[in-house]
Amino acid sequence: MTSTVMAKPSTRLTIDVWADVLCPWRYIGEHRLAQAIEKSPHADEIELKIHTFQLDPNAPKTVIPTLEYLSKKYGVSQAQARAQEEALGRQAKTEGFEYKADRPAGNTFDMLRLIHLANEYGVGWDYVRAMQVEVFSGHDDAFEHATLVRLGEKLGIPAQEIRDVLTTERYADAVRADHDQAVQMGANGVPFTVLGQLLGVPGAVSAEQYGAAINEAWERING
Amino acid sequence: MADAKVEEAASAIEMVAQDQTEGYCDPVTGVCVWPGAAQAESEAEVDDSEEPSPTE
Repeated sequence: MTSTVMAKPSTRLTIDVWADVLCPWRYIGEHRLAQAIEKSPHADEIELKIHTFQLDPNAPKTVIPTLEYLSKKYGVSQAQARAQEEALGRQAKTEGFEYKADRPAGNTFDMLRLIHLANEYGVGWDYVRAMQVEVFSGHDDAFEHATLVRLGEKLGIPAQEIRDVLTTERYADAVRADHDQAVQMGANGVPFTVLGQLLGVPGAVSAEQYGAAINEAWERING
Repeated sequence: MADAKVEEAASAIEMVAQDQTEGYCDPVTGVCVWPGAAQAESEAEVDDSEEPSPTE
């Protein structure tokens, strides 16, 4: 007669991230978080969920150059804005991705509504990434509806669904609700990353620190 | 999420690595900052403004 030792089933770790398409730290942080997950022995049991957080509801509806937007928003010269953006670009380059100072800026409310649609198809995370690649690579048409439809279709979202969202107010309440939820949860920095509904990481940290947070959350849930 | 659930979740969340952040955007003002800004500013035009260092 043999006995079988049943391993305790582990509970999946959910990582919730609140962010905006225009958020440079989400763009940079995502690469680091992805590295941390890839290195984790629990990578297959980690689920990523994207939530929206609009940083600037008053951003112009008409797309303008980012340096002009930053100059107006912060009251700094465009040269100052360029210097800081190019410094971030150099940092991004060392981490293997493109980040251009000369890129479009605009109001992200419609994009964020589309992310809620994408979440229904299970591709919200990928949609944000695709939007950010368009924006941060400096594509002037990143905010155009045709671009958003193209990106969404690639991920399997029906074009008509995307157009329907863009021509209505669908998911407007969901964007506001996500924002309020993050604030009520104590978010004091965006991106706001919550691991296992236990640990909160405000802002972007290194891949090693994301890894440490993943390990700690995993241990608390499954230890 | 119902209010009670939000409050429950908020009370359960422990902030970690707050002092390790390399950059973040303020959820209230939307202002984005990064610690390396001072170095970049020195390469740009001189400006007496004490505005937060912008990224986005």
